Amino acid sequence: MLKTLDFVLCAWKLQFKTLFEYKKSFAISAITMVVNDFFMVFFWYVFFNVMPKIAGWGLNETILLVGFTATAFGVYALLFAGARNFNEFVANGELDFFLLKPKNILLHVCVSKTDISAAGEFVFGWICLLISGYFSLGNFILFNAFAFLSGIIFVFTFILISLPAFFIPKTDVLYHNLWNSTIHFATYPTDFFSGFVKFILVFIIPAFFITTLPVQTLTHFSWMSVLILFAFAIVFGFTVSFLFKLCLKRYESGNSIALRT
Amino acid sequence: MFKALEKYSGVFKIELIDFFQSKWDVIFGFLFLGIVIFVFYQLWALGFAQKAIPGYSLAKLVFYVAIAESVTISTIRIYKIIDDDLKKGLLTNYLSKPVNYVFFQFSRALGKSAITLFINLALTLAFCFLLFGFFPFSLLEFAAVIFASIFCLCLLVLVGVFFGLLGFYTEDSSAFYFVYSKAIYIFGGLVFPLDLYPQWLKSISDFLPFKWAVFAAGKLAISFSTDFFIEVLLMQLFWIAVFAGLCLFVFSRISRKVFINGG
Repeated sequence: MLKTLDFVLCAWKLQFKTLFEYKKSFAISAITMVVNDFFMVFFWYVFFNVMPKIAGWGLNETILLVGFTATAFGVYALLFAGARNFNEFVANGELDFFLLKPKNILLHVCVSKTDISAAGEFVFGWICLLISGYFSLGNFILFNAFAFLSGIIFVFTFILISLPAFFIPKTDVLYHNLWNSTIHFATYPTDFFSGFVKFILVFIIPAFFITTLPVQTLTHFSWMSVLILFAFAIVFGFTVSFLFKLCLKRYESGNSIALRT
Repeated sequence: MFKALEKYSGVFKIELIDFFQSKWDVIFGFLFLGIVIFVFYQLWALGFAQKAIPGYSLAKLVFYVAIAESVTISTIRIYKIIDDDLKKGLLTNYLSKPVNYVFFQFSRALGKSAITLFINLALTLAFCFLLFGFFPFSLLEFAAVIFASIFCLCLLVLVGVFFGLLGFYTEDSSAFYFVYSKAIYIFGGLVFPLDLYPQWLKSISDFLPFKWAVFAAGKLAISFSTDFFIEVLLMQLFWIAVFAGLCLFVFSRISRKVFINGG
């Protein structure tokens, strides 16, 4: 366990060291991300300009949701961005490098890349918490703790949607669309949907657990919600890891020789 | 004149043929568009259950988003191709050929975008029909919407070419594209008809081309009027002329500064 933690910390340290070499690029990307995220706030601003509160969600609650999604996404992008390339690694037969190392394959793939510009997502999330009217020291701590958990659920979701690559030769467009849909749905409260769509958002693309439930817990705290959130994260993580191990039997190496620097 | 038109329509046709090699990408691509429309449908359905918006119905708003999104999503990212041409020096390949680079890239992007638009429109409108069971326009009005949508594409492609060319001065045009995509989102009325905006935002949109590139097609589809159709066409032609002029001007400056180093 400690050895794994040491490995993860070492991988992050190396990644950040490399990325901090490009300070100017980092600053531009981070600012761009914050500006980009504000457009989602604009969306809800216009919507609630013509509509009243819906299912208990008003402008303040949706701003908090958008900010929370950004921070949770930031956790994934800053610490586990390698999950994004998982689909490509499988499709191109490039998993060999990770298979040959005595480390957890999924973890190794996830920490193999970081996106430093995601720091902007954290800043944006905190600004949203501040302007939503739900700011307090307790909520700030909970906000970050839940965002970390949601970030990990994001990672497992991205791995889950990469798994078809083990069976279908060309899945990049399908993966890209599922990836976009996951993020898109995460920025809407699941309470806005019903029937089959709600079922998908709770159990298949778990947008409900990624954003809606944590935000509801921030606005109306209950220990039951915290418990459900943690239980889901553990069960979902183990299920995806199990499915990955099953799918791995279908993996075909690309036999490519590449230099990793 | 006719010879030139023949040349660029040839480029347009090549892109159409090329498209059919990757038709599944577009069909998979529709998946996301379908999801966006469905999200809006559920969102507005909840809103309309509580409050009505004067002049709009649930069906009108969903059809609006379907058309505005189809036009925008179908426009290919020509700025990226131009950016690559400038960075990798591929621009020199075109300088020695009897084609105008601006018109060549314009025809190329329009060819691919046009066929994608037709497929996206067919799929999104079929999807909306399944949701509501009717179309908010007659066949003739729909023909007018298609006509205006083609001009919307022309305008969006030209703005894309213009921002791509600006990359010559800044080494990377992605920052311009970022501004462009956000301007479409807000000032174009990509997800909300501009009529629903606060007055101050509406006033700004009136002075920009994005209103005529996105809002125009969606608005025509849900509340068609001959006067508005004529206004849309005139404003589109005006902005197309402005951006065509700007592209040609910037390109003439760039082509004088191109430095060919080796072969």
